[in-house]
Amino acid sequence: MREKKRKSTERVGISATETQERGLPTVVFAGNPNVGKSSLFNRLTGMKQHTGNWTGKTVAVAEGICHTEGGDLRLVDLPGTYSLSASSPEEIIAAEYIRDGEWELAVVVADATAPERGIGLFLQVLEITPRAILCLNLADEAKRRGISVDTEGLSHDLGAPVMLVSSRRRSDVRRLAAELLFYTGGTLPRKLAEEGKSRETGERLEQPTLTDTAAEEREAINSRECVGATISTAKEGEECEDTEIPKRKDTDGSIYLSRATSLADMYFKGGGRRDMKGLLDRLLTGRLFAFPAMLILLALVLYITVTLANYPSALLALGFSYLGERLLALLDYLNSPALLSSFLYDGIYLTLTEIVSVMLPPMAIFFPLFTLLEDVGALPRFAYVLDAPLRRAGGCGKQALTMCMGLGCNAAGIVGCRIIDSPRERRLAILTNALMPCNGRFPTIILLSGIFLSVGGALGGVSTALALSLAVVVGVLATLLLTYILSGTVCRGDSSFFVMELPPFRAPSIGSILLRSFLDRTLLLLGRAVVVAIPAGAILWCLSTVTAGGVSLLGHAAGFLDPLGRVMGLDGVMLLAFILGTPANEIVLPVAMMGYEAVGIAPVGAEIGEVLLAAGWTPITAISCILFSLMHWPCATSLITVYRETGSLRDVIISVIAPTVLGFLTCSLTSLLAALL
Amino acid sequence: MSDEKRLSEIKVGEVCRIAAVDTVGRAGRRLADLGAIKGARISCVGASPLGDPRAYLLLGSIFAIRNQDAALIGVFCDE
Repeated sequence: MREKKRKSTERVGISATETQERGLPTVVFAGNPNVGKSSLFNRLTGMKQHTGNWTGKTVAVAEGICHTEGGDLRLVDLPGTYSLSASSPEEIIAAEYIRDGEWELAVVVADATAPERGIGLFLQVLEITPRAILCLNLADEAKRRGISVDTEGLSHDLGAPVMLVSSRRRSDVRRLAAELLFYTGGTLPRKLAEEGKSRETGERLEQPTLTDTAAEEREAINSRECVGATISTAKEGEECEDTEIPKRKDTDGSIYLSRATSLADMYFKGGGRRDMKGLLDRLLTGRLFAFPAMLILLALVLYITVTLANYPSALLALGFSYLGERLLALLDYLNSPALLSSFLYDGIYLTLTEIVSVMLPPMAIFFPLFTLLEDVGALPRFAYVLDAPLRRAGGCGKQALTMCMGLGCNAAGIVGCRIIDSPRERRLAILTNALMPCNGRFPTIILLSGIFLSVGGALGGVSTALALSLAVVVGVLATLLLTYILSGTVCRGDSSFFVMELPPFRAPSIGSILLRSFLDRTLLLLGRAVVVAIPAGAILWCLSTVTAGGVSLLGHAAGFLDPLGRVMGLDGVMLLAFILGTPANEIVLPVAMMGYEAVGIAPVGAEIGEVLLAAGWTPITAISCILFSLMHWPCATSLITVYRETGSLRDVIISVIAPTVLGFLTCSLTSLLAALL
Repeated sequence: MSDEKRLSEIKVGEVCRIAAVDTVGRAGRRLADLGAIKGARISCVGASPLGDPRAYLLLGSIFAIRNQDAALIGVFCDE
């Protein structure tokens, strides 16, 4: 019998929560990646947790409370693992928690349509504890594919309870919750207690009846003293001795998989063999269609984002302008000195509302769309198709996914790099993420292409989406280039092992997922906007109000930067705008407007187009500006995120210098070429 | 009895049985954890546009595996 070591929960990073102190029974969820475990977990706990239809999404341990009629349970959701003898960090954490953590019941979630691995994992868990139940999820998928499951027979053979559920059916979820409560010895549901029912399976949980083969295998495993400690002790470098049982040629996992396969053959009937011949697969991964299909999908997502965002953006602008008038009236009423009023209104309020009204609507639409693609199963296909080019550049397929996330928000993309196992490749993805234009840069790109490159107008939304898509493609190419350069210099090393599960396409659970994603994102972004906008607005105000020799500091700075800006095909004002736009890319153009006013180019309140033309802008200037918008240092939030994720100041510096140098060179080259032609 | 081939060499659509997996390195062990064990049925169900990685059906799930890693798996394909 193994002792449960309390301290390893701290080692694993799961601290005793309030719930544990309250004494709620703990149920731990384990299972293969991509079987809907997190979905099930969410339904049981009603928690806001992000799940996606591709392997390796849950990289943190999640906790939640499940409320049932008879009592509450504390649920812990472990990262998906293929086997307890596996070697990636998440799988090590999961294995350690099961072996050493404090819990009352383990639930292994498996895919009813492909149960072998899940049953194999369940068998491994059974070796450690009899307090485990097998939960076959995706029952609806199984039914759709004509798969029938003999849960009674399987349960009898395994010597443990087996449930067949669909996380989409509320009744199934409730039934599961009641079972969990029952097996953890929690308060019996009052109904059952009243009816005085007893359950045979309850007894079986305490004394599992194993078949001969299973008993033999358990002997074999238990005789290898340190099997349970393989992962932790191997990490700490201790010795692991085998006893008299001859060492098997296959790894630990194979014993269980062999048995699991025979169990599956016996108790799961029907269903065809999976293939990649379906229409969607042929479109997304076929030799001819894959790249065009992805481009079209990209353009579609951008089109929807941009078009749908216009309405709430306009509404927000209206609302803020109304509020702004109220604010001015209030300041007037309070007899606030003109300078203070200006500081509060022009400086802080306007900057804040600018950022929010520009930033919020697109992101509130983009991320749910992204989640939808995740849910459906499209994202792993992107990684599959893009692994080859990314690998040639020194990265890996999963970087494509972090790049997609970066399209919404670079900070989110950088955090998302956690899905990449190899530290070297993760670093590459982090350092290059800023080359993907986040939602905040869309307005700059759209406005400039609208004014100077005749995008928009008659075909409106479509041409805008295409222009944006083109910009994104440039960003992708820049990312490949920079990845290649960095992997030859600061991120040297070999390609790591890469395997990605391609799950079947599944209908997305639109309602709850989208709503949750929408709420999560908007609240997060509002918070960020406020934190960033206030200092940014304050600084801007100071720079534009404080004057020296009749010209504001803003004007002076613009003049100072002008020579450098001209080399790049821009001017001092624009370069300054990019620098001052570091807190949030959304304010780059507004700051540029302020800059042009400060140097006296255009009257206050003129339209952007007029101002830029008056400043001497040409289509080439616009192109340079768009290019630099794609290739410059990360925004403030991203920089902080890079530091948090890498823990290295050196990496933050690289993340600033690398894209900027690339952008500078690209812009300079462009304006040089334009001048020569 | 046909010769043992590398998994990376089989044709799209071919169904084979695994003969052995080179589990010395990390890659082989990870593949074994996924179900690449002796006797298991494995088939190639597709290839990505540039030919690498390819998609394999193993134990009811489809995985994208790079050719250099698929080469670690030896298979018999006489079905």
